[in-house]
Amino acid sequence: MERKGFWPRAAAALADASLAAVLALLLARASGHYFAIKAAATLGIGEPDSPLKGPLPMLIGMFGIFFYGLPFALLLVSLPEALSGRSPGKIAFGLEVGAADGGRAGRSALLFRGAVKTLPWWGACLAFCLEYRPGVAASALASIVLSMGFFLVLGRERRALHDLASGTAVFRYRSESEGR
Amino acid sequence: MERVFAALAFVTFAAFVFVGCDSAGDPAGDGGDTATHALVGTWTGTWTDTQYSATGSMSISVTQTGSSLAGTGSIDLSSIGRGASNSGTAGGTISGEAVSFTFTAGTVGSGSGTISGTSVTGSGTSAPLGFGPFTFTATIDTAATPNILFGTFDFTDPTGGIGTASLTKQ
Repeated sequence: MERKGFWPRAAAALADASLAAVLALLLARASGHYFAIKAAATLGIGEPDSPLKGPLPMLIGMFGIFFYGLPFALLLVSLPEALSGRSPGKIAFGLEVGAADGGRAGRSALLFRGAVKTLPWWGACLAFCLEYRPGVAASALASIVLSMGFFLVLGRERRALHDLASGTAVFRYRSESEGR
Repeated sequence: MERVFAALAFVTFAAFVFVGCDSAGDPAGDGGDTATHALVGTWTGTWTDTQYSATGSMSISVTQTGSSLAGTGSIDLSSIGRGASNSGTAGGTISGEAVSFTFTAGTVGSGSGTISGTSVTGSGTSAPLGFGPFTFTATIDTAATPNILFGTFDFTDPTGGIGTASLTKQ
């Protein structure tokens, strides 16, 4: 069974990100406001030792109820994939997560894959909730690592870092009647 | 983005200008000729976001016709890559001891304020750009030569900008 490569997966990821952006806008005055308050405390915005100084942090801050609420929205959009192997973006592009050998992925594998893939999002949310600044930095670092790890899909195995970690891959969606 | 800061600047501008009208140039607050003479001119200064350490220059020109006030201004946002000249307008009305004013800046939003003595307070919204509401205050130092107008702004969202603006009459 053919594993799906970079472009369809990138398109699905982009669709998920777009949906998350819309969700973050809708939740800006609720969860976004909450996480912005937490971000201000965690990052010490306005304090002398805050790492957030200069024009770019200022512009981000002006959209803070969107920007700092975005990890939570991304996490919400990613939940279906961790539970069923299909995110809204994957559904739109006819993709699903399966076991690396082409079989159906187990629940534990999907959950583990989801936990790894969304580490930056739930990590950031947790760090903000706990007002733990190193956690925010770790989440940002995880985001960079996992983003780079996604480009492993360009390799012969067509598996991203979170696929390799969980023993999964992404295939064209097949209904139950089609089987595997 | 520049319009937001233009709006922000004009909030401050308007506040400064009308505070000056009420207290510095026309202690009686009746909008007479003395007030016009004292206020018409050019004010220059800087805005600074104290929360994020961003800054730029700005200037305004003020005119008065009877009890009507009008202002135009420009703000330099090149420090955040948004151009050196961004403009907007404001207007107000003197009524006895009170001054009320409004401002608009393109699609950025609008706001209003009131002046009492040397103090001005007001609020506005930048909803069209998603920046949320903001408040502002200002005072004028009439003892200083030349007069100094000093104000603060606060975008009320949790991580919104907070800062100051200061203008000196030329």
